[in-house]
Amino acid sequence: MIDREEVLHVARLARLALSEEEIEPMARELSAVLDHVAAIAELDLENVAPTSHVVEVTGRLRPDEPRPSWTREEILAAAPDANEDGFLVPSPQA
Amino acid sequence: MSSDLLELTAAQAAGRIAAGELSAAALFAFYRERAAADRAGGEDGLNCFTWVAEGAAADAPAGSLGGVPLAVKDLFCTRGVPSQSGSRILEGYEPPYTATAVERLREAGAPLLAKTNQDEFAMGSSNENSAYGPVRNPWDRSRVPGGSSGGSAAAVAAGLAPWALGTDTGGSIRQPAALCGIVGLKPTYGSVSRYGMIAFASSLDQAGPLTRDVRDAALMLAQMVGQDSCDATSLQFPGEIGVPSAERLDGVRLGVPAELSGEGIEAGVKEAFDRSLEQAAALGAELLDVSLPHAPHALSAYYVLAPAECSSNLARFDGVRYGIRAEGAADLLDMYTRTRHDGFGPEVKRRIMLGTYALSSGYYDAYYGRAQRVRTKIAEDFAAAFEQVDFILTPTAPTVAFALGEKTGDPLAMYLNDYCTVPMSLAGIPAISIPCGLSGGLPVGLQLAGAAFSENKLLDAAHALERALAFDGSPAHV
Amino acid sequence: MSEQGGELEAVIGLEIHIQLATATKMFCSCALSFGDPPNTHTCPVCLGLPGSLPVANARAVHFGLMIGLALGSELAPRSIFHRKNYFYPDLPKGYQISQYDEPLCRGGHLGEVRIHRVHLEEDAAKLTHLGASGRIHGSDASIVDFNRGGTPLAEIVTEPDLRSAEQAGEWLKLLRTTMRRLGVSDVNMEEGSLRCDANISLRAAGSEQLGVKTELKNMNSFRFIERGIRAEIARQQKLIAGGGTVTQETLHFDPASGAITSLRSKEEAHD
Ligand SMILES: [Zn+2]
Repeated sequence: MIDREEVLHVARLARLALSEEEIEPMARELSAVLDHVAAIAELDLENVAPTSHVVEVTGRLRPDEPRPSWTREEILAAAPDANEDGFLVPSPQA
Repeated sequence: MSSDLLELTAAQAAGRIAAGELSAAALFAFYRERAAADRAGGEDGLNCFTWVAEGAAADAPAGSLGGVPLAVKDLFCTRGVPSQSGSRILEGYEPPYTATAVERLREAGAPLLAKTNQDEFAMGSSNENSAYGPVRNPWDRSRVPGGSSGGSAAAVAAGLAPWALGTDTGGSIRQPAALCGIVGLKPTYGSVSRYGMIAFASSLDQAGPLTRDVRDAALMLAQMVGQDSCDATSLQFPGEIGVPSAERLDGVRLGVPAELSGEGIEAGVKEAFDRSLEQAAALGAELLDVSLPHAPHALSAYYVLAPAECSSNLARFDGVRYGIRAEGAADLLDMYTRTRHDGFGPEVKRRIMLGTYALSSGYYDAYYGRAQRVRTKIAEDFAAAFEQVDFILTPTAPTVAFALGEKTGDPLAMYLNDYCTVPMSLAGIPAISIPCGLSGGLPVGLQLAGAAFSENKLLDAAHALERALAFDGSPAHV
Repeated sequence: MSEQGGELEAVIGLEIHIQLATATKMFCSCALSFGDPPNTHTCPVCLGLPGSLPVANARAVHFGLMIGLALGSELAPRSIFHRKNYFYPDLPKGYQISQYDEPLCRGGHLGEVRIHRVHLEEDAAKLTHLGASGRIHGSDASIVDFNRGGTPLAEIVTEPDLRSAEQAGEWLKLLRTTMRRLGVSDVNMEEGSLRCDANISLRAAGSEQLGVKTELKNMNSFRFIERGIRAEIARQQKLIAGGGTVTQETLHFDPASGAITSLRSKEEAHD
């Protein structure tokens, strides 16, 4: 159902590198689950509204009042790579 | 004194502390030592914990929970304490803030004892998907404790913690509670703040207690519910959670859905379930057949919706602001893809892939759109059933605890563990699992589900059944 | 009003992003800032820390509705935020919270230009290329500053009712004045509180059919907007005159050289 190319395409969308050994089992396992899940295609759901959230949340908003932000030291503490100003990443332009 | 302390439920311990018969510090030290020994035990332990407090309790204000220490599932953010959600990608991550549920319990007098092992990002039903090793079932160390709150369930069952906090997305509190012979409650969606819970599937995730008995579950839940300004989906619980005291079920109508109590349920589980129904009838309950016609499709809908939400929720783990980053990346894309490759385990990758696929253009309507509609039908099924009955009864899990490694090679077989618990998750309704007997020396769980916000009545009914069932098994490994 | 150069007419629609002049960000209580030291206006929510949750700013919603009223839009009785998923370091959650099928406002007009929709979303963080001085493992580094991340934006999308670069420039000034009078934004292009993209296509004058459009991104001054649109119209005219066809793509106008180049767009993974 799902082939190697599709696995690689979806992995690229998900920003997930897969090793060569992971590709074939992934294709097989995804296919098995999707085959199982396909049973819902047989249900008559013509006039059924979708439910995304069981709880209707109506207008829970926050007042526009500033609260102190966090210190740079606190937020940079867990960064894999940072200088004194902020988070460092490989440049997207590189 | 030690074995005496072990006998106490959390409510009893809180009572002793309040009466001045027991010091909170002594209770904390007692459990801290037990938890630390399990953590130090390596292969000989149960591997319930990913972190255990050092020394005395961080001060918990005296409150109604009286200083009874709390074990907390790893995915709750706890300030300055590792919160890794069972994942390599968050190895060593110490958040700068604490989850609302944990904070409320601390303020009510339950200090943080330990963080418990879990399936990575709460994805799993056996706790074998943890990056920090599997948890073992205290009833039989060769078996799984269930998941994803496996560390919390095993710790309570083995007396390594008086009680524990877990989360339930498709059964992650109820199923491990069942497999470990304890009580586990998933509250109504929205009744407990999700702020600070590392998200798996946001429209389903809900925090709840894992405890020795129903009264403890009520005691903990009472301090957790309520609106939180940090979680816009949290709701004000109507009224307060009281102490359950019912001893009879006179006039209570209990519905048994054939869809969730027949096919696929192991014989020993079925026998224990049927005996529970007899007990319920003896307590005065009226037993009725109800139908949940779409319940057999719940698992399919769930395994579209939950992975779809997880693929989006886990996009933030990119190696930029926290967690690990793959070394030596050639460029930004390489940094992303290799960090996520190295940081996520096989089941998490599978679900990210599944969810990304289900949300991708061309498949969205066929999978995600349809699954959302199935969800509507399932909620309607429950609403119709609750016109006829007060509660629905099912076995919590189709089997008792299975052997480590037995189902790891077959994701679908693993997913079937959630067959009886997922429908309630999709409907957002409260459900509790209580131990109802043994099958082959292993505990069986009985699930009671009620309408949204019926927690007080649900706890009362569970309390009456718990007394009548008088489950008194105790695990080998305590 | 048609462009010079034969029987082709330009069809232009604008997408305008306006930073709202609230005190705090769209989904957290961090104060808005401009020019402050990097990463001094952040919190678990706008950094996308695990476990954090967004709570929408009431004043931002109010401002969005004011914009809708001023433009004669239909205000939604119920409006929903959606996640727009893509991976980029300026997007801490891996998705932008925006609105998709249930925007805050639909329809309306300003002058002779019809409004398609107005919706709310959150701004991205700022990514600054450090060059060779900030090399990580042999490749150049960028620094991410999350101060701007999460600033409330109103996105105003027009119908393709504009026919020339000058008309687009004039109309945009009218919109700026309107927003300034409403008090919902500073609408300052130099500071980035007003940003504009243009969708541009050509068609036979008088035809009802739309041609293939290109999207000209993020022009940051009124002068550049008019010059950019003019340059793109000229490019398309030349292309068509030479027997070629326009391909749908995202473009960047370089005001220094006057050149138009194709942008390798941020890959949008899925919705
Ligand atoms: Zn913030």
